[in-house]
Formats: sequence, C-alpha cells, structure tokens
Amino acid sequence: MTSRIRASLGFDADDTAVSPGEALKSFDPAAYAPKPRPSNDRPDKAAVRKAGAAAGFVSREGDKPAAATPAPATPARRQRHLTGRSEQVNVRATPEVKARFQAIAEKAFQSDAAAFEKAIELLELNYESIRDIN
Amino acid sequence: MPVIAFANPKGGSGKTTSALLLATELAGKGATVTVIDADPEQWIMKWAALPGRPDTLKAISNREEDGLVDAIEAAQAASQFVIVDLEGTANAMVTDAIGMADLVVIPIQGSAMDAQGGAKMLRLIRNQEKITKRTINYGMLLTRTSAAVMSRSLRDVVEQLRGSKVTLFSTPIVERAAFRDLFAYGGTLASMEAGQVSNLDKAVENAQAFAGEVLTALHIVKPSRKVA
Repeated sequence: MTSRIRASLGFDADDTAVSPGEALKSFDPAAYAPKPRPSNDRPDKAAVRKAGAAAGFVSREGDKPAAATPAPATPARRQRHLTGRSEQVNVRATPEVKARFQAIAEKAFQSDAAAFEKAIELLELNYESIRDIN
Repeated sequence: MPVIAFANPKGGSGKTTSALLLATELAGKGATVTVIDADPEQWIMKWAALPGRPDTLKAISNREEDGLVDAIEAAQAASQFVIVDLEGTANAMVTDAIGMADLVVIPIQGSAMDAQGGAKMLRLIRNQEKITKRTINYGMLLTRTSAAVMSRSLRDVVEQLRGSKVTLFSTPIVERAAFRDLFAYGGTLASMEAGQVSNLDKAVENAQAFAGEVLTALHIVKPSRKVA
C-alpha cells in the first residue's frame, strides 16, 4: 500500500513538531546516522523491470542478447595445396599392380600423385637400364 | 542512507532544479550528499563543473541503464543522502531507480502534460508495489508555480490530485530567477548575493521548506502539524 502524507486533523498534535520551513533548520547531520541498507536488500531486477514494462517504462537499450553461444564450428576451409597437378592420368592396371602401387604410395608418399611423380623420376633416371631389360 | 529519486517521464517538469535545490540545501547543512546525474543532458554535472559546489556534495554521472543500481549502492556507502536525477523519459533506468528509492519525488508543472507524466509515474509505483510487495514512499511536487497567481490549468491539476488522494508536497517550487541562476553561475542559493538576483530570500525560504518536507517524508524529522 502506498504511504500518504495526510492532512492532520489535530489528534496527533505535537508541540515538538516543526513546520516544513523549520524542519531543515532542526536537522542535525552530525547526529544523523541512518542504518546502512542490508546487502541483500537489492530489489529483484526482473520483478522491477516487469513492473516497469507494465507501466510503459521500457529499456531503451533493448533486451541484452543471450550469452553468445559459440557458433557451430565450421570446418576450416581446406587450404588448397597448389601442386600444379591439373591433368588426370587414367591407367588401367591389374588389381595386383594397383594394390602394390597404393601400398608403396601409402607407405612412402603423401598421395598417389606424389608416388606417381616419384615413380616417373626413377624411371627417367633408370630409363636406359630399364629399356635394356624390356 | 536514503535514496531520493526525482522522476517524471515528461521532460522539463522541474526534476533537475528541485533535485539540485534539495542537494544544495542538505549539503549546506553539512550533510554528505551524492547526486547521481542519470539525465543524458547532464545538467547536474555541468553545474558541478562550475565554481561553488559545496565540499560535502558530490556529483557523479551515470548514463548506462545497467549501471544505475550499482552506482546507487556505492553512493549509499559514501553519503548520508543519495539523490538521483532521472531523464524525462519512460525508460528502465527510472524503473531501477524507483526500485531502490526511499522517496520518489514527482515534479509536475501545472499542466495537463506534466500531470499525465505524473500519473504514469504513479502507475509505475503501484505496479512495483504490487510485484515487489514493498511500499514506495512518494510525493508529487508542483514546480515553476507563480508566486502571485494560480493559473486555471494549475488549479485543475491541484484539484485532480487532491481528488485522487495522491500525496502532494505542500511546498511548491516557485518560478524564481535564483533557481535558474544556479545553473548559469554555479554554487548554491546561500552563496548568492542578494543584489545579484531578485527575491533571493524568498527563493531560500522556498528551497528550505521543500528540503524540510523531504526530511519529514523520510521520517528524519518530526512531521509538521500543518500540511496543506
């Protein structure tokens, strides 16, 4: 219930009471030591704001966004390794040769393409001897 | 450490002037006072930058909605009185200040617009009382009234206020050159010289009566036997 200052009817007349003009003069700040507000006396902010909103008092700063949720981790875009390998080589091979190639590529090289390039280098180095064999 | 909030969502209703009058009168008595200037126009801060601010009166600025409650609590720990001068809009900072206030002063000029702003404040107070289950002490304060005549619009406002039984300070803040001069030259009414401004004695008497009523409303001094 709201407190109200009502006009006195005279029943509470008090000779020590003072008029508004004299009230300030009778005030002694040195003797005035109000009780500190209890630390748990802070009003519930949500309730206060709800009451305010109902009366048309709204935040001009808008509702604070909820705590930022981390954005789903998008896979880092794989850096395209610029190898200059722009051409494709289709070679028919027996399953056994294919398996042997993939085995050596996996064991000694990062990719089939790298293994293929190394194989070419070795062939070039040894071309003459290979030719003789064939 | 009472908190006195000056609020009316209608701008220009006399919040800053009446807040400064109260602050300077209390500080003039030697009380420690912190005024929190929550008005974006920062009139109190501008006044505080002028010469003549009493040593016991501190002015701090707070323009962030979410910082006001913390600022009030800090001021309460440092001062005997905390006065909050609010912006003339209906925003959440007003709501937060009312939630912390021991007394809400609602200044209104004798106009329908100011009175409607006052009525909006009353709705806020009643809503907060209902939801927080806390009694909020308040008083409407007539401001910028004429010392000589009562206008028809002012008479209408007063009659409606009395008819609706809202709390009304018996002391109106009269339109005085001395009150305006505070913001132009700084200092307090007590530091002005009588030759500088007309009716300084009346202005001092008016400010002291209002400050006395505030102390009465806060139950710091005994209530008057004669309330208008």
